[in-house]
Amino acid sequence: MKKRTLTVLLTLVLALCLTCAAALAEEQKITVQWTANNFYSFDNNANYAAEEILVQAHVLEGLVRAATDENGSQIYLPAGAEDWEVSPDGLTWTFRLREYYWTDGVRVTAQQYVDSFRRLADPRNGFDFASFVDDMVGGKELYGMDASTATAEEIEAAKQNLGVKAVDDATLEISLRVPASQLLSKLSCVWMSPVRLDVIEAAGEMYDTDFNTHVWCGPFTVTAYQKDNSMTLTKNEKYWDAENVKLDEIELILIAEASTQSTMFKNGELAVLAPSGDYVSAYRNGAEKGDYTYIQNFAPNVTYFYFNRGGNSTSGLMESQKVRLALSLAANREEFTAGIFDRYYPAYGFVPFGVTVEEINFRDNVEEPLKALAAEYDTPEKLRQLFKEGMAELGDTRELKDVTITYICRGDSAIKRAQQEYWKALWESVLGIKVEVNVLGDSSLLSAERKAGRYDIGQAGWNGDYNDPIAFLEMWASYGTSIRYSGWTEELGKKFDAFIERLNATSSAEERVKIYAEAEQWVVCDEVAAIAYMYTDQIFCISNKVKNVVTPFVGPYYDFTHAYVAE
Amino acid sequence: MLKYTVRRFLEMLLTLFIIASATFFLLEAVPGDPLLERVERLPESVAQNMYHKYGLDKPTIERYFITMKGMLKGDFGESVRMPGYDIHQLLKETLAPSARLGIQSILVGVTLGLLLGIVAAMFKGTWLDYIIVFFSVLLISVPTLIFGLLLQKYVAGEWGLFPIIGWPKGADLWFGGWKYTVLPTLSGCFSYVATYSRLLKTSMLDVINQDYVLAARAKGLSEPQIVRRHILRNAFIPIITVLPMSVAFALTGSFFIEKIYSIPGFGRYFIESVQARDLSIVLGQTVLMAAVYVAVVFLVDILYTVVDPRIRVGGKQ
Amino acid sequence: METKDQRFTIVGCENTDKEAIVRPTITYAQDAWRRLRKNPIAMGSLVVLILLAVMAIFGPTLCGQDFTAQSILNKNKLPSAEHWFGTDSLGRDLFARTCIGARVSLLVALCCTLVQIVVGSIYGGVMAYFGGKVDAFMMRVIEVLMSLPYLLVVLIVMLVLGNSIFGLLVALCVTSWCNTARAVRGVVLQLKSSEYVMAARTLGASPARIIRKHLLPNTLSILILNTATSIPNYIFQESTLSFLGMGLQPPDTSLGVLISLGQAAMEFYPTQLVFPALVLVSIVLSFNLLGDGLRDALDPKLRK
Repeated sequence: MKKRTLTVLLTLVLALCLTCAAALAEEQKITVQWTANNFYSFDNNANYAAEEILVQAHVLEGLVRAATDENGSQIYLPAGAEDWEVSPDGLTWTFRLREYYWTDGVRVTAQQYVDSFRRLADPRNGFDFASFVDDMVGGKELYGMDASTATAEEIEAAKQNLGVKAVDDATLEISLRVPASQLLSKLSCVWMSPVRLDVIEAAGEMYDTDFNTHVWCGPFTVTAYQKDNSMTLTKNEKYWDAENVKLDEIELILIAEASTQSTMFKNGELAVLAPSGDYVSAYRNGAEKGDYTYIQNFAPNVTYFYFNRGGNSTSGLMESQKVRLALSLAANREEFTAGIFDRYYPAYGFVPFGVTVEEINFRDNVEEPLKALAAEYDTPEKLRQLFKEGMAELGDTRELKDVTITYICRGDSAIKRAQQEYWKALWESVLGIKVEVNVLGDSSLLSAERKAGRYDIGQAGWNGDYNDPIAFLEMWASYGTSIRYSGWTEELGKKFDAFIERLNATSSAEERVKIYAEAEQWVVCDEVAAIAYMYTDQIFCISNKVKNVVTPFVGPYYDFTHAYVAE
Repeated sequence: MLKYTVRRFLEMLLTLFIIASATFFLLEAVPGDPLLERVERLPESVAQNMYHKYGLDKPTIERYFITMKGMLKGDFGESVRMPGYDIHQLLKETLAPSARLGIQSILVGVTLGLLLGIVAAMFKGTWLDYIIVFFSVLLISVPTLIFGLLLQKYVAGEWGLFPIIGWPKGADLWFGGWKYTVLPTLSGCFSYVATYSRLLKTSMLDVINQDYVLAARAKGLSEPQIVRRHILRNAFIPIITVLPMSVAFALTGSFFIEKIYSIPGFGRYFIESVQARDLSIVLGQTVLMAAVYVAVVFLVDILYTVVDPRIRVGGKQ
Repeated sequence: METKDQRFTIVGCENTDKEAIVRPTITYAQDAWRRLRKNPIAMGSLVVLILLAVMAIFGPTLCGQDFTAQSILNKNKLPSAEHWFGTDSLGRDLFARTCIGARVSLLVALCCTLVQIVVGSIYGGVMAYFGGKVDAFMMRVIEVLMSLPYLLVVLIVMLVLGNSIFGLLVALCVTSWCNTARAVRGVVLQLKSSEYVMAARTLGASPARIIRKHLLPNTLSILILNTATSIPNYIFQESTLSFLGMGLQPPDTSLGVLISLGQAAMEFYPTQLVFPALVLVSIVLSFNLLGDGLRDALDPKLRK
């Protein structure tokens, strides 16, 4: 493990040498588009949105930092931790913290990490990523508590029992209940960064919204914030590696219209551009001229339809595996991704490209499970037959043309509308059924409609929060998130739990890959829990003036820690 | 007059109260609540804790009285969607840019519109008139968003005459940083130009053929004098009827323009807070807008009598 | 009797024709129509409107394209013999879609405008004529209606009437008449103290007759203007709501929706914005010019 740290360090040094290659411009300031209305809180334990992650990754320093190596694979650079060791059984991880300080001069200690993990998992706080401590000893026992019935003492006791310990100021020890290779990936997330309980207490209710109550330990600090509009990050001179931070200021600002973003990028006012819609092909084709660097990365994202499995679906047909399968196989994924988006990848599985199990690239080794079935059912007749069989099993003798499937969604943009119209026309033409699109006016209405069960299928996307197939598959477990918002039930989830149990019993990466492959097969083929149809990507155009921008696979969209403006 | 003013003021308070109550109950009647989307992801127990925290577990009537009691004291409650914010904090941070944009747009737009209206009426039936009609129709038939984006792309982007996005901050909040405000103001004033030029032209034409205009012309007044003294004054009634709504809307922001030019304004919250069922913000902004509106209507009623002494709004028949 | 002077003869006098009026009797409406016909611009607008209506009704049949048929391979095409306006982002025929859109938008705009004018002028007329307490009360009602958050009102209407075109129409109409009512009130307030209204009242005319015969006709120009300018408003409000999922459900479309979709593509495929926008501008311009013509034609003071 020591050796790996060393190579990683070498990579870092190499990257820094590249830095020296180009001359620095006088003004080290960049502007970046940032969807400000998705920033909710300065409390890193409470964060979940990509916009929050982008900010916190620059103002806080966790144990490790996500980055991408020259092959495009995800790696983790030492950050707050200088190095770490894993016990031979893979259950005890010991991190040695470097000496670094908060902006108010207080040292960052192991205890602050302990406080952070405990606070994150405290059931009373209801934080989104409380389950990140799941792999740790006592993790489940803590975040799984019922906050309304448990007493404060019980919760405090459970917090003490969490498998994380500050051996001394600079040594953090994490005890796992199962060998979890994805731990580093999880630790790179901003909600696992240290917190200062004294600061939280002093800030009181203002901790969420007022950046002035905060102290920072990352390469930058927040110096201005206009709600739902913009934020200014300024270089933190007290950062442990401040000499290698070249940017003085990062201006994050909401630029709502794609056309505006493009205009500003062309004028050299934006450091990076994430093009959307028709701009993608325009920028892809224009990349040859060399005015900017065009990057297309895999994204840890799968887009899918879920079914109303509560037993009360509008058509009454969603209980049939064959009906679900027919709907799934009818989807022409290639036409959809190419025709509607002109980007992204057709999905025949549930785990996107780029996801790894330790060093093994999952998708390179496991064939997408739906591919074989799609080749088998390759005509509308076969699919209609399958659909009819499914109906017959449920005792439904209607003609296909009399069947109506209700598809609920939201749609306030041209691209969403195009998707809805595409799917409606597709299912109607391939399967000969009717599809009723019910576009709900806002997300509250959508939630209410879903709660009432007045639908057959709905659309969702899932972003893996860390780099491991389980980040995509776990949602179907009995404790997973699907139950709460996509028509899945606990009984169905229990069936999936068998895979989890088998995973917990092994520490071999090869073995895990096999189990994941089976689980994926179950999700998209055997049970047809969802119609996965698309993996998204991340496309960035980086201005020639801006160098050294890191775009990790999971984590913040961009990491500007070592970026700089060239002349 | 004093008695009338006092009575109107009391009526105004009552109206505001009715508006607030109606908003409360309408919001109650719409499916969904501010926490629904958020708690979908959370365990049931946590969800209950959250409902309790925001007092959303109490019966509607009880919450109504709590809300109204708070409102009387000027406290609209904390936003559920934006923790740490209430309407006052939100207004403090976002109202100034919106109000400045609105005031500038309305000043430029109405002035320009009235001028064009006068020209169109005086040169009725000529090519000048038809050009003005065509442009005012174009301005109302093409959405603000499209004009805004085109101005931004060409005037700011390609020609570089003005900044592409942004809004004056800090000391420049009200006066200064004018270059940032030119394009947003221009985009914002189009609808006023169109509305007011058409309106003034029409009402001027109504007046132009009246006997007293004929009389004025007969007694040898110059044409500008006739327009100023006799026509305009009488043609202003429809204008001041429409103004209150324009003012109330202008002060509280324009969703599209603020969006295009990244202006940290108030406009976005009108739709967002209703969609999020965020009672405190919805109530706050409704009462604010209603207050502006009702006050301007009152002013207009006074103005009616000033512009045309024959009109008596408040008194008896 | 003989006349001495032979230069003159008696032609006699036909009593029957004595009282006849040289010009034929024509009604107010006939006169207005006669004068409208003489206005080339107004007549041109009328023709354009009729053409647009024909296009909205028969257009899709004429070009032989289905407005929902997708063909991803054919997306974003420029105008051609097969697709007169080109195709949209899903490869659907834009001409057929524009026709269907114009149909929906015209329907929405005309229905709503009708309601707005009728309700608005009655409400405004009554309010201004009676004045005093009635006026104050009715004015407060308008203030309340206008102040309620618009989106909230729409949500409630949709909730009660269901998410449909009818619900959408009602939602658009709920508050739209308020401004008309206020405009009418303003004008009527000005007129009601004029001499001819006093004369009518002295002669014992009922309030309804005075409002109908003497006051409302004088608000006509404001009403015509209101009609002409509120049409684009309705079309855009409808599209905003449809985009939020209220009213039209995909794949139904309207001019407003087409323009919003076209806006998203305007930098790359400007035809997708230009054609629907052109149709909309033609509709609005025609209504406005026709309105101007009608105003002149209907103005009793201009009657010769």
